[in-house]
Amino acid sequence: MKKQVLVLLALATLVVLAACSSMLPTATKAGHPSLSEQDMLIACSDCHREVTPTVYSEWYDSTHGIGNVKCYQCHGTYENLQVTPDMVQSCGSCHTDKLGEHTGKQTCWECHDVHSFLIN
Amino acid sequence: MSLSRRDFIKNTAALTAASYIGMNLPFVAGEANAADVASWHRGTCRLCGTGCRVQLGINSKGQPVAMRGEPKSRTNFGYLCMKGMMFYKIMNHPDRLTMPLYRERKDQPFKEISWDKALDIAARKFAEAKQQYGPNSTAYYGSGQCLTEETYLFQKIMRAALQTNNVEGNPRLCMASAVGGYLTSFGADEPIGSYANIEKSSCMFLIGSNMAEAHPVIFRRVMRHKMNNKDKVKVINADPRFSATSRIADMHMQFKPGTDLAMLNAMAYTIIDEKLYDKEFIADYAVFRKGKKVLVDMEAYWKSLQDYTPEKAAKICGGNITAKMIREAARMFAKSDGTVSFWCMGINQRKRGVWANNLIHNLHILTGQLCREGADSFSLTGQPNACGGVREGGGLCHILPGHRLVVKEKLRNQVEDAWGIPRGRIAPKPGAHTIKMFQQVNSADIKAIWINCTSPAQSLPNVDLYRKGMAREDVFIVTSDIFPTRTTELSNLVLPTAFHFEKSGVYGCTERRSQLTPKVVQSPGEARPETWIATEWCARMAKYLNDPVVLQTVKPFLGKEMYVEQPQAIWDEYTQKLTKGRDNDLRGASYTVLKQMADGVQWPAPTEAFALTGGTVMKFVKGVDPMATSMSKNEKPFQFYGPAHPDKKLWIWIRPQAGADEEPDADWPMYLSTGRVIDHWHTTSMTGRIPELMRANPYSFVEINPKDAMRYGIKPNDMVEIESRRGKVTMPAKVMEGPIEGMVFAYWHDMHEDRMINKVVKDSFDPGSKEPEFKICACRIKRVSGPKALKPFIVT
Repeated sequence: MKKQVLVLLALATLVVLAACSSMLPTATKAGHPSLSEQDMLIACSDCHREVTPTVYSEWYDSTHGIGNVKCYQCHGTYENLQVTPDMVQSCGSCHTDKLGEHTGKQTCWECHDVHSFLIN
Repeated sequence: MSLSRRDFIKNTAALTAASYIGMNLPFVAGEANAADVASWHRGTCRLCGTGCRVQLGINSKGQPVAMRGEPKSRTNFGYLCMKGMMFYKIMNHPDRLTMPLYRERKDQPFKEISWDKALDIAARKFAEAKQQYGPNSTAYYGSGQCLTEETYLFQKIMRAALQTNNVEGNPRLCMASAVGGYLTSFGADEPIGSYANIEKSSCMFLIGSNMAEAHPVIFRRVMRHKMNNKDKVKVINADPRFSATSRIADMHMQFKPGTDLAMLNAMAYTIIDEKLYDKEFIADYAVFRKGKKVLVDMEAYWKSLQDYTPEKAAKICGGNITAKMIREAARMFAKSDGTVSFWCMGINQRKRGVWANNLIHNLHILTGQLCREGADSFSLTGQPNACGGVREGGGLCHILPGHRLVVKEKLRNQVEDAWGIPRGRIAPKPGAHTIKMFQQVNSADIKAIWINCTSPAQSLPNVDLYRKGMAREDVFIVTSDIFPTRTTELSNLVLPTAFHFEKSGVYGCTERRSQLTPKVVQSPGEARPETWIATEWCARMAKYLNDPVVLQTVKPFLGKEMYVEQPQAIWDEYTQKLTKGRDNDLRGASYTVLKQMADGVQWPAPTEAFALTGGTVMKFVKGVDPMATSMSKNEKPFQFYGPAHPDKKLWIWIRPQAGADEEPDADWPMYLSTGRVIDHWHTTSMTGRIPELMRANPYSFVEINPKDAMRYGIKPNDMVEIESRRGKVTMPAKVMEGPIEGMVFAYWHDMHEDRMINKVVKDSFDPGSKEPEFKICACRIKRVSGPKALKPFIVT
């Protein structure tokens, strides 16, 4: 009886562990949870509206949100994802004239809060 | 209203793994973020009609690796949308066409052949068609994305060498009604003012345009001006659909599709009723017309508007339109210190698109909201070079370069003299307009057609009807392009072309600004510039046709270096000889001048000195427009010298309400409208090959109003069949407060057989402009299933 209980416990533990690990997303190299190809066809904002609602609403109400500057323009897509964008490549695509004299040694977001882009 | 990720995954989990085994995504993901720019090169964006100036970054190997905006440009001030930011990524795409491809029959596979063989085949086929069946058995269908040099050269060859006016282009599908509107209202094509009027305006009237997604960088200026002047600047958005543009509107006028003519007339009624019109401006500059030959007066015009009191119009318009709203809109429009109207396909792609354009112009003429800072009637152009190449360069069946009409013998003679060809050489009647052209392909009256830089096998309305014709074995089709498309699938000969920045040339954007893009990158494989292709083709045709005029057509350009010298020679001939003294005088805008400028030159710009300042910011105004001064007839400050109005006046038109050609009925109870999304350009042949953009909008969706969705039992992402008398497609649903109840709105960019909405759309067209009514037809919808795991699709 004791042996049976132990076996059952062991099995139960294995099941629980297996269930846990299949629920835990494995992170991509760049820091985004691993998704299937199908999931990657959902627009960033569709998931992030639910998964990171504060970031989403900050962005949506900002000049970027109203102007339809989308997530992937700063952060890239999965294979080239930058959670923290390269300032020159991303901000600099549109705000070239602000790099240098205006930014000095700072990053854009030290003064312009992401994702509202209001001056803090 | 959105589907939660949890719900979506629950619905599709079972399908996910199985659906994606061995799937080839149409884009190359995972390329390194390139930071190794060795040099930056200024040019124009390849996409929409805004005309953003960009800088392309090249690495030490000469490969394109980055893009940024040009901060000194007066068009975009350094800003770009996502498409402008990323289009360089397709330049080295593995799907690029690199060799000429040929098959004698369309049911055979393509074989790679040499340029020599390819050009010879094209020359022989067109020469044979002309000899056996006459000049009008040949045709050219071009694009508002071709460089001006390309469009100008091709139309010259068709008219002078092949002696046909079967010259058309895809701007027939988008801008022809705007052209018709400008010509009949103002006497001259293209906007009077510039984007600069945005920042000076107090009221912006956005109608039939989702500017936020279709012209994002112009929208950025509108948005910014509104945000900087929240209370002083008013924005009115008029659209049966609530769109991304509506977010900044003070007033959203949501009317039933096709009723906007009544609404515009009712605004005019209010303006006269409440004495908000500019009596002096009308007396000095305008007349009233009922028909082309019928002049009337203000009394008759006022009488005609009695059918359009705000109360009557509100009944016609339905939606959220009330008499109060119409009056409020009219007062805002009339009383503001400066009102700019913007519109696009919602107004143009209509059975009565020209009339709709006229009615917007009417409001500006009545109130004098023209010819001063912050006031303009501004048609947004869809494509980067519909203006410069097609409308100005003679790229439609009824016009010659320099805004000349084919039917006028004196003007034909001017062109013949400029080209050094015998008078009488250019055919005296217009050729077949686009729909007629493809009807003639269907009947094989056209035996040989050259399709350049566009995909009518996806972009024509009622498209399956015309794909049938294009598939005929007795119609020889040459397609020149950069990627395989639905149209290359139906071609005999496919020619690989150089892309933007791989050849030199000019684009003329919405605000009459011509801008130069240089060659800085080598094309892949054997891809060549279209100007070289066309020159060589014509030279070979000269042999087959044994006609010295054929050779004369391209003699000035033969043998020239193909990337700069040749296009420059073509540009010089066009500007110096064909625009001289015309209302789009571009003589000052030489390559030398254009190369010096961060942006470009607004015509008219008859001299280099004037061109270097940027050119004409506002037409018809003495002191601002050199032609207003030189063509001045009297002491008045505004001179409406446009070629289409002999009386040199602005015309206020009596136009009745006219709905769509196909309205909903018992069997087909819903309105269908179609349109764009910000992440994709046209048929997705380019943007679909960029992972960021494809993932943002991997397929076409159909937007359904929540009330309709409830009625039909449709939930977000359910598969919905949209059917019309012409065909059916199935798309996933977006349930949202977008389209007005009773209307569905489908995105048209998808080229998957199941989702090509143009199969469903009707090919009726405006009798004046011949532009098809993409925006309204009747359909029915039904829920087919729950969400499906769909795959994005591109022809490869």
